[in-house]
Amino acid sequence: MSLLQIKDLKVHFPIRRGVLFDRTVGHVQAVDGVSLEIERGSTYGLVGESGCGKTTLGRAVLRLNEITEGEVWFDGRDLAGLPAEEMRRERANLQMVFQDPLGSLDPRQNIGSILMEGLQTHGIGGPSKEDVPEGIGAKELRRLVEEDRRARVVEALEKVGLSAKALKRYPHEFSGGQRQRIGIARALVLRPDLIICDEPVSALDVSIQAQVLNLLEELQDELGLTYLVIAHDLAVVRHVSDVVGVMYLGSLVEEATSDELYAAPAHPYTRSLMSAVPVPDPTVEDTRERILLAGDLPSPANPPSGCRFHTRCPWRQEERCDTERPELRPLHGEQGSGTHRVACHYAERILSGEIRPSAERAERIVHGTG
Amino acid sequence: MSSSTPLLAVDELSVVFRGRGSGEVRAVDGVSFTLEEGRVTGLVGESGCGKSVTSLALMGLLPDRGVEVGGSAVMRLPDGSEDLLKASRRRMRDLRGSQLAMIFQDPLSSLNPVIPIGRQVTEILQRHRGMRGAAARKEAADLLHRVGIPDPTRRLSEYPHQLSGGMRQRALIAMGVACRPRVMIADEPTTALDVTIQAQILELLKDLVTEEGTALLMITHDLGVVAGMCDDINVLYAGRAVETAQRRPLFAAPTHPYTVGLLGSIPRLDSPRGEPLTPVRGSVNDNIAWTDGCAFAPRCDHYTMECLQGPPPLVRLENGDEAEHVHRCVNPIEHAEVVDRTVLDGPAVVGDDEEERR
Repeated sequence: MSLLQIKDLKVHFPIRRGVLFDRTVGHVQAVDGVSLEIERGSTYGLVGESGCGKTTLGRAVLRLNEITEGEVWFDGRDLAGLPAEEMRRERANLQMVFQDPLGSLDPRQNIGSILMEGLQTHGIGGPSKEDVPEGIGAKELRRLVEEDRRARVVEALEKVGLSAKALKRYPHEFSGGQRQRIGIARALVLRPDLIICDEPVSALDVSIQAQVLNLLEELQDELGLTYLVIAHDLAVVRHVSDVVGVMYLGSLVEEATSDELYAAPAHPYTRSLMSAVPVPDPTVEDTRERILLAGDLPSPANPPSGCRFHTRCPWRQEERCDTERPELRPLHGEQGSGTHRVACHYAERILSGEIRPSAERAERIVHGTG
Repeated sequence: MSSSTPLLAVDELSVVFRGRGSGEVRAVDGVSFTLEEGRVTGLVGESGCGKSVTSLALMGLLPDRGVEVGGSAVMRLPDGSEDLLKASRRRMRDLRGSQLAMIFQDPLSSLNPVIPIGRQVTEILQRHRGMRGAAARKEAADLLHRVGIPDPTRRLSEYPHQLSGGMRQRALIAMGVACRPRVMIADEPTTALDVTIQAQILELLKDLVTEEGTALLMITHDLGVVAGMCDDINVLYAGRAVETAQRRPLFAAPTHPYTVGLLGSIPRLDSPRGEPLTPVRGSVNDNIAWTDGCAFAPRCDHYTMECLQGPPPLVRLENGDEAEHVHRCVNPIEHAEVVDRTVLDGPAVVGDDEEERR
């Protein structure tokens, strides 16, 4: 059974107007009907451009945003319906690593106290009730708990490549990469099952990015962690993920194993997104075909009818696209291995090359080999 | 390369910041490159390598106090050549906008939030081309149209917050090209944008270079952008260029260990999956001063004692091509070694040794 199962999740934010009366004039449909499953011990990558709802989705899993509708099954429990106190306790098993390592660490707490906080909040550490030695005083017990917590914190720090010397230091004394390691250690110290990484490397320099990505993979191998990695960088997501989901305007448009998605992207949005990513190789850059999308992302407060991508889609057809919203469905044909899902009426015919992109809707640029 | 004098020749540019009570910081330490009409020159490097300070120095936008700018940047102007670094503030004000223009990373904070886009574009036309009223407005609408903003006349009366990120960057480019400058400096022009929008903006900049013959100085940390855009590339590290080459030799046969490290750090969309990345050890803070040896030595898996004996000189590679390939390394990587990637298999842990040094 999968560790995390999201069923038809919706997160809508009300838009309020008015001075005296708080009238709700509409909703921003940040996440609008997403279903996905994450297997234990695997990495699920969620990609999309800014405003597609990927961060909101990640936060909704932890109930940091109120869920409007839908279910979030984690290890056999539906988080969406849990009372606040139970949810708070459950968060010991679901941790998050944030994008901005400096902004997510309290500048006035030293690293020891930052890492200790989670253990204190969840009352983790120290001997279990049965193991408490006979006739021990409250003070003595507190010392045992403190010692055990300290050991756990040091262990987490060592796992991310820092030493116990970091305990007494403050966040500003570390470099960006080290701060992100501390953020990861903070998540690790509770020994969670699932870690949600929201843009874990986008604030870091290239050489440091690679260090942190390698670290995340090593930790997964060692501790059997499950990751939900949210990022805008397709190359990063492909590198770390087993399964990748592509989001556009609040919904998943395509989902497949990492290899399959990048080898044979079926949804027009995935295709254009991938062709837009620059490749650090001049020979490839000069020869490959690039599909330039026209225009910007439509507003999620007023999404287009039918397929939400139809306003920018170079493959758009006269029928169905602007009237009927496509479901996320398994891809048919020999390319589909059963795990490849796509939300496009014409995915198969696009993949086979039967439908060609129209020239007016997108500039296709093929560079000469100059 | 052209035989005549280049459009802009930057020679041994250095920028030193002196703060009260703290030591001096050599942000840029002897950077030389040239810009030519219709060519794109790239400055690549990680944060703190001096790439943005270089651009600010060329534009004359560094503060007067506490900064020492050395070297020269001679630009060929219609009325003779002139050193930009020695020009008066008033002279620089005339040159900026008309001869030199700059596009910044964050389009929202480089536009004035309380002034409509139209007035911000016409301001340049008034200042440099003496246009007024309806004529200026019409020209501004033309400019917005040229950079691909739909319905430009309506946009003129809108404020920056009403435009999307890509639109704002387009508006900034429109302001940049308003007077057909011959040198355009783009400092991380697409870093704040989404990939599909980034592709649009890069295409726009490419067209500008090919159609108008503008010389573009592209400053970025993204090697992918560099591979697609730049003709000549300078890789900067700790204020100095460590490797300079045309893009094909640079990507096909990088010789400086830092360039190789950078290329090994980025996951690529078109490479086989499952291989671990080969990052550069440590962080940008683990440097030694260039005067003591190679600044990159503490992070380099390839260094020898030779690297710590004074600053490494610039070495010109003998590769038989007419194109220049220069690096600053006494112990460079042979290309054969790069291919099997055995050189850079070092542990990638920052941990203790860095803390020890503090």
